[in-house]
Amino acid sequence: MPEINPPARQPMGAPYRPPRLFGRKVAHHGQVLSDMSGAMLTSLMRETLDPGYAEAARRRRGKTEARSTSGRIRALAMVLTGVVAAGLIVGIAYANTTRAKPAAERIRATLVGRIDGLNQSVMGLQKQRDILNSKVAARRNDLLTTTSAGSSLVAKVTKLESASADVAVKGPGITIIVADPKPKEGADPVGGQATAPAIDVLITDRDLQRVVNELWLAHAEAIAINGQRIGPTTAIRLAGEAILVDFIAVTSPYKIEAIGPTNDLQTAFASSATGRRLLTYQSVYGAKLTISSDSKLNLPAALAVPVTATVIS
Amino acid sequence: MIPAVGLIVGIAFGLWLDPTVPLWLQPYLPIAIVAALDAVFGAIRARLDGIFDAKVFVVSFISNVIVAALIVFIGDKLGVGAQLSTAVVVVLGIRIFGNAAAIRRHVFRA
Repeated sequence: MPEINPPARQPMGAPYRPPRLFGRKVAHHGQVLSDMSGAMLTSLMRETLDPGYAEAARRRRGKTEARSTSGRIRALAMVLTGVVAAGLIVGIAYANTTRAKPAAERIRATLVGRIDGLNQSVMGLQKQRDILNSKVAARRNDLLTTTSAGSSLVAKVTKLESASADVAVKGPGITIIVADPKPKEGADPVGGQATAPAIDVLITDRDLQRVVNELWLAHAEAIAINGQRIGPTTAIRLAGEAILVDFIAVTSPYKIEAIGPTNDLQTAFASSATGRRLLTYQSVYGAKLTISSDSKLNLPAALAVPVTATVIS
Repeated sequence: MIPAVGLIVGIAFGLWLDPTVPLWLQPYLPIAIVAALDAVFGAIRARLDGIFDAKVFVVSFISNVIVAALIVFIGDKLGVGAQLSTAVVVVLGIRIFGNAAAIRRHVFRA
């Protein structure tokens, strides 16, 4: 508590001078140092009350007569003005802060709504394109099958269409599921566990590329990763921590479906360098690898899933 | 009692009016709040100490708000606005804390 009453030796009526704290020189180990910063901090911590109050109280003590009614009213009016002004500042600040937040959220909601609307229209156009494509193909086939030369052309076109991943295909094949190793339960790096952190991203774009190339080599007719058909121009690449297939992100577990001669595919893949590499991943790092044959696989046409945006949290 | 009512009336009025603070004035609003709080806490403490003076309260309140805003304004012009805002908030914050502690000692005698 700071000293409010002035020292007794000062004569009454003289203006109160607070003790000189700033710029005082103190001798310290024979050196004369300026106590400026130390005194400033001390006075800041100790004298939290405005010294004006103490001075005003001192001045009042000189005149002992009671204050008049008009003086009281004036004092009350002054206090009220100050207090109402303080309240106003707080209220205005509160109102402004609460209003600013919904504005930002409103803009975000509007943008999200527009993105959703455009997504919908892209989906609709995609559907329309698919319907028109199938209509065109049906008309073309109708026209071509009237002649024998046309019939052979139709067979050729059908083959090329499936090779270029232009049409959805179905048939027997194999499914390979590759997944990153699961992080250990409670393997929290903050928890201070002595074990080394588990590798949580093990399967990269290279691995998927190798698997796909191995399957093409084993005479697969159509391949899809997580439902994304691999066409002649499809790129599998890494962007940050996500693997992009035709610019659409796929995440672990990766489900690679291939239509083709089931037995050939299975044996060729299992004996290939890529298959052995993935087996090593499985035994050493705990990655997941399963190979199964499937009598009926349905693979969509390439880019059947349109590129749309999704809202992040 | 009357000052408390005045404070509540002021807050209610500010919320009810809800004026749009111009953009150039917005950086000074938090500083003004801290300065106002400092003046109010100082006044309560002075009242409990028995040395309250209306004139000192009003003058210190207005000058606190203006000086605090001025420091931040000059800081903005010099490119050290954030640092000077921090300085103002630290100094006024320490004073508010000290006054609140003194009020607590007065009220609870502990």
